[in-house]
Amino acid sequence: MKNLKKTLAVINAAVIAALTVSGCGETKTADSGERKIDFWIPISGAASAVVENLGETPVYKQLQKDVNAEINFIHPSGGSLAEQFNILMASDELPDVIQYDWTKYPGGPQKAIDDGVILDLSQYKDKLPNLMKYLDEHKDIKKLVETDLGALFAFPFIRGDESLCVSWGMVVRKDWLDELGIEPPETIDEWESMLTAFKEKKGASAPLCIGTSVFANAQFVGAYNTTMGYYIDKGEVKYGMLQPAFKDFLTKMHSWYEKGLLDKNFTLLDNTAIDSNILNGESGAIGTSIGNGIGRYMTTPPDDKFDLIGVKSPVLVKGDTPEFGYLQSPVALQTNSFTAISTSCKNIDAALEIFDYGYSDAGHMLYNFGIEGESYNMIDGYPTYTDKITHAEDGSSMMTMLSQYTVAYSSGPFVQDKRYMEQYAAIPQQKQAWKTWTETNMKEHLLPNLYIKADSQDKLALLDSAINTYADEMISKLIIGTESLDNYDKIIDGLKERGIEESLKIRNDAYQSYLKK
Amino acid sequence: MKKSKITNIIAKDFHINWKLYLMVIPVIAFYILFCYKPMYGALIAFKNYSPRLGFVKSQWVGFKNFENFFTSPDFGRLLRNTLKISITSLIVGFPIPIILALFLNEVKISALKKFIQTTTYLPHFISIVVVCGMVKSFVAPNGIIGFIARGFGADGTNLLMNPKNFLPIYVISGIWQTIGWDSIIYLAALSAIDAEQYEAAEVDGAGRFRKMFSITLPSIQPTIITLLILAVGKVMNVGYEKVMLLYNPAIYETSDVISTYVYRLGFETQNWGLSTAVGLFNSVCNLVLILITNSISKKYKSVSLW
Repeated sequence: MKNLKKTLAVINAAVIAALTVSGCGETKTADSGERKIDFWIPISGAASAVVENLGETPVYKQLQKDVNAEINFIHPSGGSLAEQFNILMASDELPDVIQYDWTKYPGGPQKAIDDGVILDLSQYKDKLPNLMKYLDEHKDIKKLVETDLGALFAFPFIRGDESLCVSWGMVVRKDWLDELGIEPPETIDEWESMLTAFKEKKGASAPLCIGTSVFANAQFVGAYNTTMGYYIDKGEVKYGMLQPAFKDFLTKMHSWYEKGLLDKNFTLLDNTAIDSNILNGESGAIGTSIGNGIGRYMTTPPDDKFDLIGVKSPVLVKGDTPEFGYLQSPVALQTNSFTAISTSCKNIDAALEIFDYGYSDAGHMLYNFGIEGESYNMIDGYPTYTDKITHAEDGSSMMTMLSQYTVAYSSGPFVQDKRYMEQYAAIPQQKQAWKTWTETNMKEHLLPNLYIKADSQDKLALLDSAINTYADEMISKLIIGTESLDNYDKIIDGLKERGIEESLKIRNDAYQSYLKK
Repeated sequence: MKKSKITNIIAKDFHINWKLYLMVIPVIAFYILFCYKPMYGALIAFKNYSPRLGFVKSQWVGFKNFENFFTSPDFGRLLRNTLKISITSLIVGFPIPIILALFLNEVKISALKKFIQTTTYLPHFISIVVVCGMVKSFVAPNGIIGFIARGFGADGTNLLMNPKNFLPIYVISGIWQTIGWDSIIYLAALSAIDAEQYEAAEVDGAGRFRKMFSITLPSIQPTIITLLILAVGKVMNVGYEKVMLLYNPAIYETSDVISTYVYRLGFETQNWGLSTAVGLFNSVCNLVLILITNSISKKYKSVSLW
């Protein structure tokens, strides 16, 4: 008996020792006077290709010098970001500062404040001179950043110019247009004849290579004065599929599918498939972005003739300015770009000062252009990136270099400068597309940042999941023809069964309180 | 009195076999830490779970999460698809490794046997993401299966765009993936059969098929039944990985299953309470099924798991 006890005790000790070894790994430095901040931030793909930790990049090294503080960058690793964030939330001690998409916190940003996870920065107005100055000068931005209760849950990433909210649109093969003598298409009819020509004369097997996400960005469906999803029309939130015109749009798409103009595999497309189709001449029109799309295709074109041109969001009547198109909010809510200070922060004053710096003149230049004399020079008052950024000696792309010397390519606690994009979109095709895509009235229809009340938020998340899945499925089936357009009313009933009316009501209520701000 | 006797026996046994007890400790620790300890987390099925408040402090909501699931307009379809996919996989997929094992057992050329074994095992070692990538390119219009299908009059769209094709693609690729690996256990059972039985049967003039049906199959019957009971216990589990990698909105009708629904709830809407409730419902169904099959098998074949 004695022996048994002894052995058990030994084993116990061994197990406990093993558990402690595997379980530790956190060291505490809780010195409140120290200007040292733990900063939890997802690392971008471009940056992680070069460094393991953002603290090693020149831009963040300089930031630490400028604000006279030590920032310890913690990057979530392994598994999905959402998973890592959830684990973080469940832990007792949070990092001092967390940059994430706070709408992913169950109940939303306001709930995160109420639950005592993050601080309401509006309580510290005196210590945020630069951010407050910017918000006071830009009331429209302030409305987007503040929750309905007037709380400021994070340091926002702000696009400093309307043109920065447009970075995506439709492009077509310019060399094909020239060869066939076709003008860049504006109307749905012009699109149809162009795509038919691509199919018949250029042998394109999938002339229009787009997935349904392109409709969510209002292309084609915008011609019918509606879009896929929610939008504002005459002071009211509306849902595209419920509008009679949406059926007309689907009828058109179904006919394009039948005629072989729309990619037969449109529900299965991924980036690899789209790349391969446009580069191999299987497709003549795609939806793509300025940097990772046009920039990439044009720097390594498949042959000398290959050329792309950006075209406007399609309309029904020639000469009309597109009502709908692609547009992001200047403060895009559902992005990992909100830097919040956690309630566990050991030195709140330091954290406030460090992140307020991004909105000052010096911080603005650092985040957007990096270090003067190294990554940019002032030429005639214009911050011009040096050759080090634009033509790196080791052949690194401009994106890679920007990811080391700036934060403008990604997002963070600062105001993005238009002059970054002007230089990043350096190729004529990029400039042309960027200019063309901005010509819409989408500003009138874009849903602003809505802060849904916590109790409605849970309900809304559930409704949205069911509605989005159902809408995606039905739109795909109606275009393919596995579901008949004659059943459109029944499909609307299906949407109602899944709570579209309640969802619209919650959104309209939130929109009304947005208007009252 | 009796109790102290038992502890006495254990203590004595421990004294002799203490090395064995020591060896079993990591296994027990594993089950306690990773299987039993997390089980109390299932209580969030009855809560409006907030990660910040944690398991204990989150607000109780009773059966609301279950209600939400059962009244969801897609509930019928999810359940139907899950059962359809897993039962078809079971009926079609279960006998095939047995047939392969029987076939391999009859192959006398060892080089050929090894070749077949290696090639059938291979897909098991490929990551599911890669397997699904391969399946997708096989069924694309210019892939090998898509090409053959076009020969039979398919209209040149991707086979995965048609709701009717999802089930066959899922089940057949599943068989391709697991056939070799699943046959290993039967091969092991086959090698345990006493060779004298076959010799005696040969003397009695039994042919190859006679021997297969009268000796081989009855000998591996307990193995087959045990594996069948275990397989029935997984009927409600259709893993989300493979379905998610293969499905697309055009075929949700036949491909959306309970686990993909749970995935979307958990990761897109952060509703862990509801997704746990659905998972709990699944586990309870599986447990009931396994109990039923086990008792049937116990009654008629006197083979059972416990």
